[in-house]
Amino acid sequence: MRGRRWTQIAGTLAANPWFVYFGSRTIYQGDAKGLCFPGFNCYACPLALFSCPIGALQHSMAIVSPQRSASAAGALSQAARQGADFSLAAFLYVVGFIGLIGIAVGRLLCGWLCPFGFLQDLLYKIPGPKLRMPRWMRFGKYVSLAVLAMLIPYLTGVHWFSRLCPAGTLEGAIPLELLPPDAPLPEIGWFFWLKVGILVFFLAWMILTKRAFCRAACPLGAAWALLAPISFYRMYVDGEKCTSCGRCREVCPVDIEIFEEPNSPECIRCFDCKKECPTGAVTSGFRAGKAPETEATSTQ
Amino acid sequence: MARRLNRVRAAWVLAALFATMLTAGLLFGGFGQVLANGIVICLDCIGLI
Repeated sequence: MRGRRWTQIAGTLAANPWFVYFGSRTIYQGDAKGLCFPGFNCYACPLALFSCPIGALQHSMAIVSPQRSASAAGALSQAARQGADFSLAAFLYVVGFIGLIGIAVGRLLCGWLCPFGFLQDLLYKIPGPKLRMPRWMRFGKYVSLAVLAMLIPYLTGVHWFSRLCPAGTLEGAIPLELLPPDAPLPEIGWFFWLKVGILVFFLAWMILTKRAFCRAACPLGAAWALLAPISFYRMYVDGEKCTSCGRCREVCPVDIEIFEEPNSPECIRCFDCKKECPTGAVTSGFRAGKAPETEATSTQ
Repeated sequence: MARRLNRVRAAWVLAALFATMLTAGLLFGGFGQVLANGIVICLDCIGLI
């Protein structure tokens, strides 16, 4: 098994180590929930130890929403505000956290740590017909970040991305219905089944298309994608060594042509291209202060 | 060369900005606000509201 699979397994277990739940049926409520996990993982999962950065981002927008007192999320936000010194503190904390990772390594954690990315890598291995994703669909994740995860939570006080999130359904809703906690949960309604429908749609798409959710809908991937082109960690392609054989494109989990744009916002820095390149033309590293001989011809 | 220097400069400026935001967020209670949201069962996430 490749090294990346091990880090993905480790990332999944690190995000969800609360196996005590199976015995106690009690959701973890300790201080670690104040930390965001550097990957896409639902904090409603009964095994989760950390908060989802996108859930926390939505919460930070809902806290300052003009509608907060008129919604369930608003009530929660008001409770959260009682001990708060400054209502924008959560926003600063979450954006600073996400931004620092993005500027350091771009989308590297999407490829190496994210549990939901790991699930997509596994699902795509299921044999059958495969589909390429049209380029325009990649803009969906930016809409997801700006509108569902930020603007709408601000305007309505409700975490609308979480309400529709397939990871929330897979890791939170279904496990909690199958193994309910000791606290009472509301009855299942039509919205639950809508969420299940969204999950089934994405699972089917993940089987057909490489990293479908990451590329078209993930708001965390979108935030890191915005910073990837200028991040400190960089990919390089030596134009003199590259023979344009296309092997890198074949193995790329996000279908990019790294020899055309080494630091593409889409690149999840899995290094599959680096391993597969027959001439060793693809390299990577923290070399921001130095000019590799090839950067002028290869880096966008 | 100039383009690369601009990119490096932009990266350092953004890194400083994000580090400042993270520090300010922690100093002014951001950890507690995220914690308060995280320790409840997120009914939004599980579609039961």
